[in-house]
Amino acid sequence: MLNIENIQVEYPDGLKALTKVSLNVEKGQNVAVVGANGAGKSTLILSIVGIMLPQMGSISIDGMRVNKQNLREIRKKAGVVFQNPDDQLFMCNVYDDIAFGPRNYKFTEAQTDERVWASLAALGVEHLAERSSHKLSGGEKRRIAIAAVLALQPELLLLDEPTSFLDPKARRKLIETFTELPLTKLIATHDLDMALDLCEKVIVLKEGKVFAEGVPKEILLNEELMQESGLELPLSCKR
Amino acid sequence: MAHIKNAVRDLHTLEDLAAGTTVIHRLHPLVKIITTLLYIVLVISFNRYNLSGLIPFVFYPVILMALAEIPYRPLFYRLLVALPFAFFAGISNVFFDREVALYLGGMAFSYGFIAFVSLLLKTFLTVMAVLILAATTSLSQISCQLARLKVPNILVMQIIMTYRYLGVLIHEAYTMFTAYILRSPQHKVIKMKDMGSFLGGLLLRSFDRADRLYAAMKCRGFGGSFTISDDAVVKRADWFYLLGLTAILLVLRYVNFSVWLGNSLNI
Ligand SMILES: Nc1ncnc2c1ncn2[C@@H]1O[C@H](COP(=O)(O)OP(=O)(O)O)[C@@H](O)[C@H]1O
Ligand SMILES: [Mg+2]
Repeated sequence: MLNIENIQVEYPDGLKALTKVSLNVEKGQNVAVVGANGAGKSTLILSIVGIMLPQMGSISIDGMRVNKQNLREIRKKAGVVFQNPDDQLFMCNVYDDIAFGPRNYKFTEAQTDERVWASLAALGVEHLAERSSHKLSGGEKRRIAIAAVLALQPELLLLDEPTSFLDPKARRKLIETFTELPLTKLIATHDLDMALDLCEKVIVLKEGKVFAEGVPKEILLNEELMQESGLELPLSCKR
Repeated sequence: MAHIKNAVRDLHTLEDLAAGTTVIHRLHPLVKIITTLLYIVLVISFNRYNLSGLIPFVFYPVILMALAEIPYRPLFYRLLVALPFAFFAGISNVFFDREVALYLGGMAFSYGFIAFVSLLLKTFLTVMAVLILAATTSLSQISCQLARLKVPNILVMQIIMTYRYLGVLIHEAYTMFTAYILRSPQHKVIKMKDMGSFLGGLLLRSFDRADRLYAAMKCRGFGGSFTISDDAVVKRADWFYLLGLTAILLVLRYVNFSVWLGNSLNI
């Protein structure tokens, strides 16, 4: 589904955010990307959809190589949920916000409407359709931001720290919702407990490089490895 | 502090008001935009010494606010922002245009004074008209109709983004201000020497924010043009309102009521 080979991504100021990163995500998998602040998680997500284009290496989604010419299709295949929903929601009301994507892809109003309601339903927030986005609670905003991305029916969902800014209850409910979404997901997160519960695979980034990769239990419960990568053991196994 | 917070809330009150369901709210947005524009054009078209002709136009905000059940306070607050500009733009009239125009109750009023008052009144009326439009029609409806009127897409987009962005900017300012005050509890305002870095920081944060917002939009297929749904249908009441109001406004503009009002006000 997602194939990243040996990419190097540099910011305009010369900072190498990612070096020699390779990874694979299979269809239907939930994969967590963990790492300390500044490890390069967000940069990785942005380069998958071509907001940052790698200077070296290649990224392909479903066999389609990400390059300047096909960004439109790539961004329909892979949807990004940004870390801060306020960066993502900007229309006057929730409905228009969710319809923004489908309308950009020139779906008819009827098709758009259908997609909006389907994504609202998938996140259990139909009742918010008429509200204005900026007045919702953190958990609601997050759900709307995810619904907005789902409306394009992507095959791959890229989530940047989806549980940040959420209270424990909203967090738990969101994770439940994730388990019900039958989509391939790549989740950048600090929330190691979520990675442990939800994901089949973890990739640990450290200073822009893949530091470790494997089954969550083996990686996340390895105290030494976690410490070296600047992380801590999941709360659920700290006593 | 409080006024930054109020600014955010203020920005949102108009939007809340626009969610109402009165007769005026239910009118077709295009009809409201057209009549508002017509009203503004007619008000502005008055000769600058023609105060008496302008006075009947006060009926419009008064009646509309009553029908749409819009409270006075939030609109007047916003009005206060516009009036000082008109005040300073118009005050020079009073000094340079001193020829006496009329005597009223033994007082002499110069042409300059009359021009000044009529400018203030024009500002008041036009700003009220726009505020009433905003309080009865949601921004998405307005922008959608502007797009329909073939206003260039980029401009409509600009309006929406500016409006949205204003909220973000005020919010950032508020957050930074709170952080500042918490670390210097003896102050109630930002000290002048910190103002530079405060504003600089605000600017950088806003750029950052705009960058991410734009990236997020591109991720959802945004390519510069913009579409909004348009589900409003023109009903009979809309035609009635459009034609009726147009007729009334034209009569008020072109029939000389000062004859009836008596010559005392005629200028
Ligand atoms: N816009 C930018 N310009 C320059 N450097 C950046 C930019 N965004 C992030 N970086 C740098 O790239 C590195 C990776 O950042 P990021 O991908 O945001 O990490 P994470 O999401 O894991 O916290 C960091 O060292 C960060 O300072
Ligand atoms: Mg990040």
